[in-house]
Amino acid sequence: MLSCKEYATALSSGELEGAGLARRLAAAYHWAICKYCRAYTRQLRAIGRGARRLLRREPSDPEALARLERQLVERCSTSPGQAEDSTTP
Amino acid sequence: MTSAPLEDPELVTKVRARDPETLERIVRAYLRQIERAGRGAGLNAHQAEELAQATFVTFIETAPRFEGRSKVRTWIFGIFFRKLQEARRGFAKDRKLDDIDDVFESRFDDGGHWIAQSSSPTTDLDSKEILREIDDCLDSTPERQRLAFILREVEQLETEEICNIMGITATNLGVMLFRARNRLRECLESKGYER
Repeated sequence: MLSCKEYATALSSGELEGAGLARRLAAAYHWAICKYCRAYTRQLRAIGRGARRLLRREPSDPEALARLERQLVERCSTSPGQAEDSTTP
Repeated sequence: MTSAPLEDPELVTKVRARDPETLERIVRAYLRQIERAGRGAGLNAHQAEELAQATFVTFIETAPRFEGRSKVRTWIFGIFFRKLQEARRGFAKDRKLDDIDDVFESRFDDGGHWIAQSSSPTTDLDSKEILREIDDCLDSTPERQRLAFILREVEQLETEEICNIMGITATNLGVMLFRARNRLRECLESKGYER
């Protein structure tokens, strides 16, 4: 049976994501019987969710990014020799 | 904006031929993701845009060299990673010894049980203020660990893809993710979020 330390190590390193069935079942069993490891699991998930919310907000200057997209799209239609300065802001 | 995978079976041929419509689709699909990864890696908005620009200019120019051995997204993130390393000369390699390993060890007794544990932090960790704290804690996370965490948690890339982009083994990646996640957790706890 997994200890809390083994469970926490396997979870935080991402090892469980690619693990075999036996390992995942052992982890699931430990999760079911250990409230501390359930709390740890919730904490890591909340941190990941928070990071996604933080970075998936709109960029501070969406117009600048839209402008950059237009410049790059324009460059896609330009032959390599002609492309030199077309993305200079 | 989502970055739907580009499922065209002739994608490699079209990228190599610098087909304008294909390149344009790729720019539109991945520009925001690359800009966001730059901010996630610790660049400010302006630096992240510049890095995204440099990444896609290189992608467009080197498109004829794309062999299709990896996904287009992996190829673009690989360019992004090399540009990031150039921009950040101090983009240090991850240390063999890291103090977070000792902090993690200290949380368990000899039998591997938690010594002291927090109550559920879910409510606090989902609060609006937490985003500022996560931002602060990310700033104190070593750069490679931080990038590995962002590529996994925010961009949700697969292990193999992150390893190809960063030129590391799956074992290295596991160590980086372990350290990043536990460091962020300890950092937030030190700010009073998890007790």
